[in-house]
Amino acid sequence: MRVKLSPKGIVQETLLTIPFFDVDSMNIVWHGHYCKYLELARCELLDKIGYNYTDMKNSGFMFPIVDMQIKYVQPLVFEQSVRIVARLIEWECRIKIDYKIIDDTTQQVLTKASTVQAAVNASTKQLQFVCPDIFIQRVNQLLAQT
Amino acid sequence: MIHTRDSLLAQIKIILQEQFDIEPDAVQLNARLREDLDIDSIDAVNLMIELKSLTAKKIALENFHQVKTVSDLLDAVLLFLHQNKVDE
Repeated sequence: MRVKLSPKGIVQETLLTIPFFDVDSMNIVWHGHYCKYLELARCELLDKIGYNYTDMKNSGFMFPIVDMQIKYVQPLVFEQSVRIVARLIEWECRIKIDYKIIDDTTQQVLTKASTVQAAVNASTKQLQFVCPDIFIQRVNQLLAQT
Repeated sequence: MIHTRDSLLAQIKIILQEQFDIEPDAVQLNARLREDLDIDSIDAVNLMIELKSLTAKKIALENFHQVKTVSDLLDAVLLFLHQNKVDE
């Protein structure tokens, strides 16, 4: 394994009940809505790290999504209670987060996903090849506590 | 492990083939990363991460934006390794 994995891991779980307005004519969640569920979990994970989108902006950086993968193992259905488990995988050169959406009752894994966010300097709009020190410090602080 | 320009090129060919399906024969010194090898800026970040595998330590090419060709890339990595004494 070449990429640096969190040894103990920074993980955040987000609870969600599937809303009516997300299901399609097959009564399952339309595939395009999943990226919003990932965003819910990602925001909570970044809050936990102490470097959320507002902190990013205040520190002069943006972290747009540059890659996303979603594997729809089993469908999500209306009123289903699910847990979105987000785990920080990479943080030195870019932010990579892996996700699992799990049925909160049966514990079955329904969805596997990952996103990659690249650091962009907000004023120059230039892609950064290394994450800002402030973010790496926050991650290391949290890892030291876990 | 001491890296020479040739050994580094051989390893970069392997990385480019594994990561981006680029034929090793296409990785010539004068090949342009963006135009000839179709490596975009997102791939470049990925490449940076893979380059770490060449050394035990973190590699940070902050001037990577100036890297245009395979030859530039070799120079940048060798310069970084020399400056940071990663080889020793």
